[in-house]
Amino acid sequence: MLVMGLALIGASMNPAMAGGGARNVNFAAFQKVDAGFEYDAIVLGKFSDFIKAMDGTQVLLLSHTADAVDGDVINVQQDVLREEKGVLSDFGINCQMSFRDESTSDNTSYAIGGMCKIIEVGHGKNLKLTVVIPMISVPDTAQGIDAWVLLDEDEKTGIAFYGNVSTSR
Amino acid sequence: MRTGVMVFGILLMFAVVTIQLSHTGEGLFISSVEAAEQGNASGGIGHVRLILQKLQDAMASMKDLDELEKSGMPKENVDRMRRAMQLKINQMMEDAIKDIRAL
Repeated sequence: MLVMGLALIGASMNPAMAGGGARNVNFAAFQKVDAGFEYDAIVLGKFSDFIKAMDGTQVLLLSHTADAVDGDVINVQQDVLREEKGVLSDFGINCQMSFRDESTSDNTSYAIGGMCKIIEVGHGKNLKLTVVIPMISVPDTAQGIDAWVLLDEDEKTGIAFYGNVSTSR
Repeated sequence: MRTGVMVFGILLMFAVVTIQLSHTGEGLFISSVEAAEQGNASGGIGHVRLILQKLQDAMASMKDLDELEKSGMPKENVDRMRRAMQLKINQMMEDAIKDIRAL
């Protein structure tokens, strides 16, 4: 499920643009289907390699936010609300992420962090779990680093979040 | 606080509209057009319920941002996220009001 993340760009919110330049922010969430699967801290390779490495999980969310700049807040909601016999169920993930350009004159550096709410409400479940993701430096494919970094993993639900940044070709 | 008052107002509007629509179906003569409109309104009510649920969830997220700050994320980042979330909440409230008025 490919979801276009909504970058809330507020000129009034942002500090002056840092030196690294705009980047596309790529963010993904997976959930284990194979109980023995283990998430790697870094997954090398292009997108197809990344998805192949996630064999043993199911994709919950794929988000691509184009041309994000320093200070952007990226809001991604991928959940299904269903009403059955007057009862509302809600399953999915809602995330608010902060994107920072921490580049210096010597090298580019980007970080993302924020929080994701894992929602499993309905069909006998009542889970609303908030996962705090600290600011983490992410690989920049524009620098020739084809990799995805593990941002966080929730062991209870088997859900993990990955990210990197890229540029449009 | 102000946001909470506005959400209460929206919920009250929704409750009034829901009661009025359910009363229309009680033993009164309804033309085929009105019946079709009521059917659409029922779908509309479902849609509004969903929006209101998401609005309540979004408001609860504001408290989660406090936890984010406590976890060590720089205040500057968190404040920016708070402002963004408030914008989102305001947008959702406008959508909810618009949809309730359409019922």
